[in-house]
Amino acid sequence: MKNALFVTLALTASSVFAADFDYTADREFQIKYPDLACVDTGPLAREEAEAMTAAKLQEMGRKDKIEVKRGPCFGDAKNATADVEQTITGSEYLDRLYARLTSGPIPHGFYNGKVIISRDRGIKSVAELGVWMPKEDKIEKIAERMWSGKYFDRDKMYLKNRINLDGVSWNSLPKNIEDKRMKFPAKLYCGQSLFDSRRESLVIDYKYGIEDRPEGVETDKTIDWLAGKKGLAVRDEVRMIRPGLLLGRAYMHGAFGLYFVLEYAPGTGKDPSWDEPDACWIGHQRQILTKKKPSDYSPRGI
Amino acid sequence: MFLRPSSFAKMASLSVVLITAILVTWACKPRNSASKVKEGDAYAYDDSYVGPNMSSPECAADASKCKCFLGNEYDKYASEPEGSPKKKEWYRQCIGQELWAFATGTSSRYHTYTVAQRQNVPGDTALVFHTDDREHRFKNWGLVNDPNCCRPRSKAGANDGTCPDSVKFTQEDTYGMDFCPGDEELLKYVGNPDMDYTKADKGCHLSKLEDRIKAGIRTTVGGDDTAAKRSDSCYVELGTSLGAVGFRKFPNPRFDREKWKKLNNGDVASWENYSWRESGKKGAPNYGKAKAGTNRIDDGSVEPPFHSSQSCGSCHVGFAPTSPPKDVANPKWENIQYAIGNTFIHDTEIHASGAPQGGFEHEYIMYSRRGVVDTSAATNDYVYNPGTFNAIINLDRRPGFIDPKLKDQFPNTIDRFKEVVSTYRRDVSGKFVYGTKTEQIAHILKGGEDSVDASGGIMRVYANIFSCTETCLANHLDDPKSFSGRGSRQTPFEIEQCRRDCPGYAALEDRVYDILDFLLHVRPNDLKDAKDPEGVEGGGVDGAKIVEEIMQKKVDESSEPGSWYAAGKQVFGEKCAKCHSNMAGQEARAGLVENGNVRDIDVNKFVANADKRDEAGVRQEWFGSDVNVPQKVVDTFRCRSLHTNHMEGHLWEGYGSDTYRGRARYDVAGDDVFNYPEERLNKDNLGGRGFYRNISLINAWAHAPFMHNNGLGPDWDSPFLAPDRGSPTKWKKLEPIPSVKQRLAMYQQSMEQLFMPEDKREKTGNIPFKVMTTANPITFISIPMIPELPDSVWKLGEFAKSLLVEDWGAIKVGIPAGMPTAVFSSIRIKQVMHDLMQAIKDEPTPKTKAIAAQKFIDGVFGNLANPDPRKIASQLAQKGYSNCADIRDNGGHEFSDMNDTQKAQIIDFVKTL
Repeated sequence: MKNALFVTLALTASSVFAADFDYTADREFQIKYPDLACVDTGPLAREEAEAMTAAKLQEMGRKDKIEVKRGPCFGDAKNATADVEQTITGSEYLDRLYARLTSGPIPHGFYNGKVIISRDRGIKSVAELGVWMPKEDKIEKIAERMWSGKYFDRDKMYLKNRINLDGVSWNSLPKNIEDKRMKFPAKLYCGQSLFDSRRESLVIDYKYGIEDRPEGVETDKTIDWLAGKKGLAVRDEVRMIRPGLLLGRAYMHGAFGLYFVLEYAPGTGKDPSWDEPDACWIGHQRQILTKKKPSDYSPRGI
Repeated sequence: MFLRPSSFAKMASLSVVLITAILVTWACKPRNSASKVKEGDAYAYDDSYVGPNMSSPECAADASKCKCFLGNEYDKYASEPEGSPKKKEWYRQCIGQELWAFATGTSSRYHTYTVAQRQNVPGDTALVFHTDDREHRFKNWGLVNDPNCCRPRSKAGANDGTCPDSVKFTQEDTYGMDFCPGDEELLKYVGNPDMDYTKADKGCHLSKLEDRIKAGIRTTVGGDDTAAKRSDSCYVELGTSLGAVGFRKFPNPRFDREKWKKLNNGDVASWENYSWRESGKKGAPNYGKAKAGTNRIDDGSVEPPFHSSQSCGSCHVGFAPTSPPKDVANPKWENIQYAIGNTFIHDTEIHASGAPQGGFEHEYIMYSRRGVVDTSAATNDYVYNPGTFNAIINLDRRPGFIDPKLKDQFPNTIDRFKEVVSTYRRDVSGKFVYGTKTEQIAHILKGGEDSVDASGGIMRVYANIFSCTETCLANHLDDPKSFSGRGSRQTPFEIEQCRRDCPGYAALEDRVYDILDFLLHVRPNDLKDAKDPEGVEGGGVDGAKIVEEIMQKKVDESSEPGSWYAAGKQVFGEKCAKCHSNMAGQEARAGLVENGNVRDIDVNKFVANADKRDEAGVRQEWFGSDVNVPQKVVDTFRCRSLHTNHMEGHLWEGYGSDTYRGRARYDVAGDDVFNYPEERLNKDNLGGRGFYRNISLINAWAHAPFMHNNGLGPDWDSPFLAPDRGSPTKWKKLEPIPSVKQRLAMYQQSMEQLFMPEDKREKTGNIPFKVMTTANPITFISIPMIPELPDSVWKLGEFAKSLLVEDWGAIKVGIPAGMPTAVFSSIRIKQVMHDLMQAIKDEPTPKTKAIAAQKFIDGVFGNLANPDPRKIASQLAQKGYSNCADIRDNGGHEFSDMNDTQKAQIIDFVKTL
């Protein structure tokens, strides 16, 4: 097909279509047993989590046999790698995984990135309608070649992307946000997940990335606008699978596009650790399961 | 969004001797006094009644310090001994009143973050509530200023505000908001992440009070407390006032004062670059220009000083028809009622005040008429669903509530509405048990949707004003931008999950029968008790004189005094009471209609009982039946009846009864009671939809204009009904003045229009109806695209370069202003988008795709350059793109087959109710 077409639907810019979805199964899993079927217990030891959940179930008068695992329910979080899609295939699994994560601490340093384009969600389903690009696999290839990671600066609450444009040498990883090779600036903050409202995500918002750049940080006027308010209004949100491994969702004009995974590149910033608490609001559900002290789950959101 | 235990027409009633005595006593005696202000002390504006204080530490500790005025026959129990059942009943209602008026139940994060980041319809807090604009709040937004709040001095030094000199706080301290009771504590928490306001909220004191009075959880209306302890009351979340009654604020721990100062050019009070306020400057005439500038409400990285929120009272609190304020900007508590329903409020404009005009979300949620809100707009059912905030009065006399033991006293009322309800109920121990049973319930919403029971209805309201939204609701909503997977359609709100996971829901649910008890006993505002105070704007009327004149009036010179009133009652019995009386529909479970006709009643029986009152002086007759009537019969604006949220599989499934959802598409005679073009695909039933609950006419004099969308009668004037905002200039408008005189003028003119043939009512150009239209051009679809590129672009790097081209193309499809609001807000948007993509997918180039897209849209909407609302509505319905194609704001309910004398008699008779 000769003509390339880069389409972002909008409802004031919207996206994606169709694909059958089994809501009955979804409801059973996601809603009827929202968190108890697979409890995100955060840093609690497994034994503690099991005991706590069993007590909670008893209190509720439930006799369900519930699987309890530490952290995410799919695979062992501790040993998870960036190849999560090898063991977790299909966007439904990613959806479930994402919905059970919390933000983790604000990362600092460079994270290698990889896109996961689902066949039944996001931009690829546009391709299935024949509206998108000529061949689906090119989306992944282009994304892989063009983008390969993000640098987080938690002090400035700012981020830039490693973009592989012609003539840009990436023989070394960026060590700070001032690295001029990086593009698409964004602001970092704790904010609403457009997918799972029950707890906040770390939001990477490109809307005002150019306008609000920190002192000493330059932007590229020729390309950086593309992700900003006047371009595709990209907004990413990420949650932590384990320290150093993040799962993200990318949106354009509020419409979901794709998943991505970020993995910390050692030596580029602050080494991630379980010891650091979540930076963003963790919601109400966890407080009931873990009975943390009130200040840990203020409804105000700290 | 808000509880509407009665419905689309408005209520009225006569008051009784006792109630009158209470009101008079209340009006004359000094209010419960606040302590005198001392330097540095908690602030109190004056010595007047300061509202209920059940949540104060003083009341929790000392019964003599508890202040509350219910305005009903239970006020006399305030002096009963502590520990007596009657005193406890008084406490319960007072707690209920306070929760109704002020509790937000964990919704402030929704109103701050979710609306801005997830739903794209943020409110502009400063545009609406900045203290500099305090004087304009009623005129612009219909808000009731909180009598306890004041405008602080602009800076340290001379007092140029309205607060007493003893209040040293400046506008910099309050970040440009009013200064209100409790702020001296709350302000300490702003921008302080190490302090948790949750445990400092005034609501925490309720638990202490409940411990003192031994109030446990109740399981039924009027039932005794169980031994079960109520959950932590901190989570009812009262916060402090935002300046208008029912709107609340909470400290934002993430707020960074220095960043805020920098953003707003060094002035922390101005909100200059965050809000739209400064770009349009205050005042009604300039409002529309406000949004011409830019703001940072859509920048999630900027944290405002407060999380703002709302209680049920935000829309249900209004000015008392019987006791209007002398100055609408500076009312007293005696001018305010908690459950009257604010017929002047611009609810949707307040909620969408921070969204760009012309944006899809703004136009989708907007409804320009005062006193009306689309409660399913933010929950996205794609049905235009305008509904008024009804007065909640005499609910304990309402069918479905009446105590069987009192049936002898209420000969007209029968037990009806026995419906099959599947839900969780508390057992005698206070625990929740799931089960299905047939029980007597009340029909609550305008279509009778909230049909589990009244307590469930109240909890649904809290969920619908977004209590616990992040934890319980948002994941069940339909995201207009999601076409597959989660968010691509509604799923049912899970009551049990919310009860378990959200402490705000549990805290309110444990006290819901207190709220219900308060609401059950709110009494009416009779015209005979209404009087404009000296010098009130647009006033000068004494209701008692008017009622007396009606009662003494003769039909003609030869007849007796009182004959006019008697004739009015008789003709009302013959023409109106078939629906608007306790007797209506009692003969048949199927309802009011048989063989296409409304059933007859025994008019003599109605006339004999119409004026009867019980021993407490409360009117027996409800002047409504609450029976659900097929929309086709009443024929008023039908979109509201097609609201979908209570259907199986939809958001509020858990709050609707099985009987509701089983309502047949066909009436008893086998006629299709729907037969709407947009519902041609529904073969058997509409999941309970298609009905309107017949409503009470008590206090109708105070609540015009009429119908569930306030569409019948003149409009209350507003900056949002200006010609450039989509309102035809020829529509009759009255100044929004809450005086007795102005309410009566609105009533009179609305009744006159009600009695006109439909085609003689107000028009929109050559269309014989009032048609609300969109005020702004709307960007419906925008598809940015890169121009045609050669194959080589797929060599990586070349593609990257292609991104740098400056002339990106775009398919942009816009809808000009003037689209019928009902049609626009009822579009099956995803169906349209799907078909649009199908229509353009085979086009070879962006240019031809753009042409095909516009062609498709033209085919859907007709000639957008010169839109004909009727044609657009019809076309969309025929193509299956509309959930409602009705555009007649003031259509139906036609009763013109009377002579002028009979009409005048009914108008006068109803005026006295």
